[in-house]
Amino acid sequence: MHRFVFVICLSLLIGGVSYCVSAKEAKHDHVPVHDWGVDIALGYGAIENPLNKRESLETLVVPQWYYYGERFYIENLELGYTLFENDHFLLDLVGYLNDDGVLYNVDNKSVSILDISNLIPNVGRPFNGNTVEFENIKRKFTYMAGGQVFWLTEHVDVKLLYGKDVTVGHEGEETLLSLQKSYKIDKIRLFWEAGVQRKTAALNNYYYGLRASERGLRNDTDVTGKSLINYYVKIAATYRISDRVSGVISLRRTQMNDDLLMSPLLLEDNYLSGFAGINVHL
Amino acid sequence: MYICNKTFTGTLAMLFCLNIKTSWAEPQLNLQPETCVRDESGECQTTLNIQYTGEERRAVCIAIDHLVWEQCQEEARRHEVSVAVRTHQNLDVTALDAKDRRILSEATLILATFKPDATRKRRRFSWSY
Repeated sequence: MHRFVFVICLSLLIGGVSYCVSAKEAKHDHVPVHDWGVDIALGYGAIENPLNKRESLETLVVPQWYYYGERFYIENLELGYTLFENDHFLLDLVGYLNDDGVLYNVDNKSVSILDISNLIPNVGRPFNGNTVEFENIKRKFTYMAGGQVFWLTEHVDVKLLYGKDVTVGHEGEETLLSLQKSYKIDKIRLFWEAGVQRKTAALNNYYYGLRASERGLRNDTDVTGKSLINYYVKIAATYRISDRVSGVISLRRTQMNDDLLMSPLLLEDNYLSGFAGINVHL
Repeated sequence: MYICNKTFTGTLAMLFCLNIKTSWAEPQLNLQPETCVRDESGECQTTLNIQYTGEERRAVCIAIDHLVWEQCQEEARRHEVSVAVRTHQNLDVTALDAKDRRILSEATLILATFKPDATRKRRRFSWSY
């Protein structure tokens, strides 16, 4: 089960967090209404895990799927309802899976107390003086709901996305602003994307703060009191081998805010995710 | 008895004749193509092949009034003519009897506008083509 969930998450983080925009003439980036498709990519895909005591995630298979109706669309686990669409402007209501939850939900490793206490400067003894026993640190996936806007221009495309938690209850919010562009040269397509994500304190504290029960204290430990900004850069290239098969390389680097390193749960403030292999369109 | 037989035979004969007459096809005027797709300027350009098949041999004129074009052919049961046409509107084609100009059959070349299927932009960079 975990393996399956991991594969889905990987396709989200690698294929999922980027959005395609390209010249109007490129028909592969447009699909007819009521079109759906499934892609299976075979190769090597991985996410470095910046969380403490968790291993990198690796897979040999990355499935993706899409459906576009009159207004409704699906891209993997992202659901969208389009309010307006023309050649220069897209406005959608969207639901999507937040990326922080992915890092916690693909393996079963726990974080032991010994490691935690080395990293937290202010961990005192609990109220009753006994050593705290940590259980497995668990964090749920967060499904976000909100909206997005695309401005499609001749030189670059701009995306603005807002989402708020609707499944967990921490009511965290995130806003994303990115620039992206794709190019087509004969059989090769290139894509780049650079963006900033602003996550509210509620979202960061849910994922990187500690609950009172996890530390054996009376109060939760927050990692931040304000919204924090992450950055990311992504590049991808595909090479057309046949009508249904293409070679793919995709790489994304996420730079998290340094303030988050205050959390004992986080070991690094950046991580790489990527895939190299063959994509088959079904 | 004799009269009954005659009536009976007569009725049969009449029915037989009627049958034969209806199985003999009505005059047919066929166009190839039946539909013409407009180009960007809204004009249709095509070579129209017109076939007329009548009930009996006669001299027939094929006319397209809108283009002020007409071609007449000698007595035959089947007539065929090709003509290059350019038009912005539907064309009415008429087959006329060459002698008394009576309309034998009519057909219309219909113009259509090409409309590509609506498409939507992928929200994600696609790995496939």
